[in-house]
Amino acid sequence: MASRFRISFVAVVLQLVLLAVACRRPPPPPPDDPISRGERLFFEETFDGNGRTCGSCHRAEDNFTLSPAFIASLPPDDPLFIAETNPDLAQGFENPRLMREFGMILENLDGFADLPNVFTMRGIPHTLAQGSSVASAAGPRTGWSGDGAPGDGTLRSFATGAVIQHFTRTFARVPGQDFRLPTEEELDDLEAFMLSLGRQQDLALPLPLRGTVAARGQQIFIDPTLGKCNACHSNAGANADPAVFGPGAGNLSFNTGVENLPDQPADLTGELVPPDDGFGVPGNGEFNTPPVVEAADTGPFFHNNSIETIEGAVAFYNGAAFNESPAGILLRNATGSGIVLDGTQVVAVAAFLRVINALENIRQTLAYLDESGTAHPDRAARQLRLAAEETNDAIEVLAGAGLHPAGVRHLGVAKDAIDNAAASTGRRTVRIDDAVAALEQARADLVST
Amino acid sequence: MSRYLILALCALGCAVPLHAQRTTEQFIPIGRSPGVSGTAAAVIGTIEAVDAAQRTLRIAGPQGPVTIAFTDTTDVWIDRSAQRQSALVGSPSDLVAGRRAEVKFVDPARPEIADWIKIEGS
Repeated sequence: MASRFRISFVAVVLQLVLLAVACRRPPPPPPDDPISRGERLFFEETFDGNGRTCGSCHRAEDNFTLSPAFIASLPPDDPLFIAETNPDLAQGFENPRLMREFGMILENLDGFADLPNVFTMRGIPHTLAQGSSVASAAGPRTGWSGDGAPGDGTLRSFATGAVIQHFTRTFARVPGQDFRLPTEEELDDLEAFMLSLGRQQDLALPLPLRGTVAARGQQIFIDPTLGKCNACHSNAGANADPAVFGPGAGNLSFNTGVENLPDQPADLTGELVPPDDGFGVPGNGEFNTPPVVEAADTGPFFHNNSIETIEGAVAFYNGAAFNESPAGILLRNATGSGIVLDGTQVVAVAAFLRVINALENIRQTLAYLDESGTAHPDRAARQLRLAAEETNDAIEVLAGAGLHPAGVRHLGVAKDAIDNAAASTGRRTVRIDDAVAALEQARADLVST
Repeated sequence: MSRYLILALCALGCAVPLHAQRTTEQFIPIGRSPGVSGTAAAVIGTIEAVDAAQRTLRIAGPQGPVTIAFTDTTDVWIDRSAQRQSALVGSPSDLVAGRRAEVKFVDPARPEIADWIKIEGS
């Protein structure tokens, strides 16, 4: 009797095992469209270099940039830290202290002839909303100083320069030995992927914001006699206001005096941080205008990561560095005054930027959740993880300034639902639906529809 | 805003025609410059003659020989990738007849002036 029970038990277990094996689907072949191929290249392709990928610096989990907080979470053998682990790159490839403390990356934009002394230290720009951020009447502006790409200078060509600068095994930088250059097809796919990231179009201000302070901040932002922000950041994007700069001006560069800020964090360390002269060699002091919808959760700010908070970034335009800059002087001469905002007004503009950033986080989260519903389980898990990160960004951005507590609560509900959906496939659809509902409630707290 | 502001701000931010980054361009071998090589923006061929006094070179391109001027702002790089060696910053004195070269024009519509020249290393 006991032996018959044992045999039956074993048979049942065997059948269950066989059933589980039969039900485990092999992963489908990867999608073969340009965006999907570009995504794989962006995050997986090392181009036979030092182990870095594009995603080593442009992290999907960190809004396609890299903050000091995120850097602190990385293991010591992450390819980002190749200068600390590869003796061939130990001197003159990165500054580990500035990377870890301020999220700064070394660039040799003035040439490679004197690596110990000629370089710039810059923050990593995010790669979001590039479809509406790089075009200008004078040609595409890529990177912080608008001249980031070799070849024809387009976003498509950017990856070639990035591989040469950041992926090399040694300072010889010999193609075919220290790295391989992206092929034409790979450049096409990378461009398609990069253009797919984030917002696909600019906002249409003014938005019907429900928060009192953020709504006032939006007014100040748009007011050509007060904040004047909209002149260069039209609709909170990266493009110039056509009413000011003419139709089709697109993305512009300015010398706003950021390099003249006193007490820049990197300078306080005593490390060698040569002046950054911006566009061209020698540079003209100009830097590219970034979009500000994405600003609040992608600090530190400006090309040199010199200001940590969004309130500080707004307040910059009150200070001497900006108002005595070429851009500031011209603005003052043309309008009768520089940008003069008192404390409450700075906070209001920052609140506006926080709210529109949170709205973008919500939009992106919904996009991730939508995709997770139809994706292969591995892909779905990734998208849920990113959705959780985006929701967390929205929470931090709003709560960091005491904005929209009810909306923050709804976002917390959404985050919990997403985390639960990510943790188990059971009732995943229901949990995603719960998250979507909570996100919609949060959005309704921020803006009227 | 006033017309003055429009014009002046434009002068600040608009007037300078953009150009691509040149520092990493140095390390891109002849024929591999993205969006440039194989287009009307550049010509690849063998240098037939160099006139140092006139500051011109004649290059035998696929459409026939073309004479191009170089200026003080023309970058010259020596492509040594075939020798598995690092590219070097060169000068007009490195432009030698018989060498393979790639020339990018300042203006593709007027292929008369070189923006940069890559010459194959010996």
